Amino acid sequence: MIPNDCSNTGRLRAYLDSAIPAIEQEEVTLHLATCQSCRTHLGEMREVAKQVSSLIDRHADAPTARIAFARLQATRRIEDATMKAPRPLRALQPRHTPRTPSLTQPSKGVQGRMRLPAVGMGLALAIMLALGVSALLASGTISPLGADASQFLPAGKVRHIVVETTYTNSSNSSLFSSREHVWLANGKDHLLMYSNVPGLDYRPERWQLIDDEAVWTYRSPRPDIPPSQKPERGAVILKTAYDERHFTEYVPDKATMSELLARPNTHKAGADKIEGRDAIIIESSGNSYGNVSGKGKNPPGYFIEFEQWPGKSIGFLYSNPDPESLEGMVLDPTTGQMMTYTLPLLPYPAPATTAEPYKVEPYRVDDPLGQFGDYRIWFDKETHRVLKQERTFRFNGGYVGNEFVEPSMSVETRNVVKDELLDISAVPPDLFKLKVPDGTTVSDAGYVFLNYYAPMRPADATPSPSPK
Amino acid sequence: MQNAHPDIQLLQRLAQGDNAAFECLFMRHYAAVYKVAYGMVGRRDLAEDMVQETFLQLYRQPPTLHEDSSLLGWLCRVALNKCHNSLRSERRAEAREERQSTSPAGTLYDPEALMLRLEERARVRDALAQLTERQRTVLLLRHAGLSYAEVAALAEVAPGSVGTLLVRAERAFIEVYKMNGGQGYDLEARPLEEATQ
Repeated sequence: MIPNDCSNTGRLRAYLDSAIPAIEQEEVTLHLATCQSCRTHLGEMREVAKQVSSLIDRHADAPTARIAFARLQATRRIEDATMKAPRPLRALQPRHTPRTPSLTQPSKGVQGRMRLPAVGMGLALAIMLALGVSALLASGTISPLGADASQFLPAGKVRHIVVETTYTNSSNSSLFSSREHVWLANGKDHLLMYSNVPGLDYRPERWQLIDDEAVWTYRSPRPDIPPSQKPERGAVILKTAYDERHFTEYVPDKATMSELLARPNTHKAGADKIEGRDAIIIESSGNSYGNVSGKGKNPPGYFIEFEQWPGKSIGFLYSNPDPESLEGMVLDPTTGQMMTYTLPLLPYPAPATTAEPYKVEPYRVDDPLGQFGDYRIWFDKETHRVLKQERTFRFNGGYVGNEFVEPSMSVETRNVVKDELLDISAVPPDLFKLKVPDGTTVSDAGYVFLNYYAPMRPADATPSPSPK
Repeated sequence: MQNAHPDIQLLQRLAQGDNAAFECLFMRHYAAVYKVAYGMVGRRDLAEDMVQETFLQLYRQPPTLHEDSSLLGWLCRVALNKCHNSLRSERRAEAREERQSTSPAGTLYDPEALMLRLEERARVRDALAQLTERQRTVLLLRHAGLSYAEVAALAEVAPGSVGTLLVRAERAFIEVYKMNGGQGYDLEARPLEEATQ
């Protein structure tokens, strides 16, 4: 109809969007020429629509399509790998009854430990393990596979540690706080860690499953780093403590080695007392990027991993105390090549000059790492419980998106605000859910985990099972 | 609006296993679909998951489009279904609660801007949450670029009512946004009902 009815707001809105037939469009135009009220109304609608559109766009703040596509491709690859991989669960079974690593109890030698033949295969195996076990847990059936899982897993308890982190600016004013959650399967032979620092929005999606033989780490690609600057190898990390194959993420090209090398590092481990209890402390200090991990030559030994995205902490991992030394590998962030080095663990408290250089091959670079800050963690000597941790980032520089930014903020991790032992069923379902290829979502497995690449649920999937 | 023709061509190539065609389709429509999904679920990680699943469905089961239908409409329909299913499986309150982890990249070292932006996001999220589901759907689909006909089909409303619903949704959105402290267009004193008769 002819839109000379001034109350027909809907028609006017459609006119604004050119969503009415051309002839009606002309008619409205003619009407507007003679109707001040409708012109005013139209102008208002236009302004409101413009603002709504702007707000929705800013609100969504979508990741770039390129990044999202890289993530999707990775999902497809994982799915493909999962579908093609054999079912090697038997090979992944521990060859002995899982035991609790101890600072004083030597672990088994390398020969007794699981070997994974290759990263790709190992990844597939680990995924298969997680998926298969989860599916069975979800179905509640007891089967040979379930029996494998029961051997592999702890007895249904999960430890939840919350560490509060505060962010301060250069004038030491507190800006805001966030909390980092660490989830550990009960018992030290199986440890699950998920770390996240919400305020930093790096969304590590990082999960680690640790037993006394292996450490498996999965991580999604960084959603905020363009894939053009992020090699595929960054997508997934898989490693074992004693037969390490390590992939790491990309460091943007501005974080040159020379920048990293300009900064000193110390890594110390030793005995300390905290709250009257004998404690073990691991301390890292400096400006680093890289990964440090123990290798088979040093059992038992501290197992430390710290991974620092420039300006952003990815996570950390520790096990197998060794007061003397570590061997590790690090990816040269500028060349993408692996370097190996020996990292001495110095007595704690450290002597005045602690900048013991690493022995790095093949580059012979004294200091390939650079950690943006200091980190200390205290464990109870007997129980390995985390008594305290401190972390300070000085933000000597870091990346925001693709831009290298000089810092104005520091981060301090101060307090363990919660340390509780929960039944697996009490774990928030979102945290540990695992989607498996048959469409089931496992929400009560606890120790297993969802990584970003888990196969997606088919559209006609049945609802998730309720936690048992 | 999206031109359906290249989409149909790309879909045909995708059906023949052309991955490059899939990538093109993804690049063309990702942002719009994400915007709809995020508006529906209010959580970045969940929205990303939903959109990813949507495109995976496109990859596995590419639809056959007719001249009068658009791929964006199809994608939005799939994404909406996934979002609804996902929200149903969660407690609403939790589902719509933005996690702090969505602090926007790029403002890390400007804490004041970061906080302001977080606040604004919360206002927008709240404003969307205050709308009826139909209003929210109409609003998000239209602002994602769907035609009135497509919006009508997906929101299950009469095509002739889309304009009215859209005006009503936009005004309600802005009013709540302003009530929560946002700086919005100064709507006339005219009551919403009158404006949307």
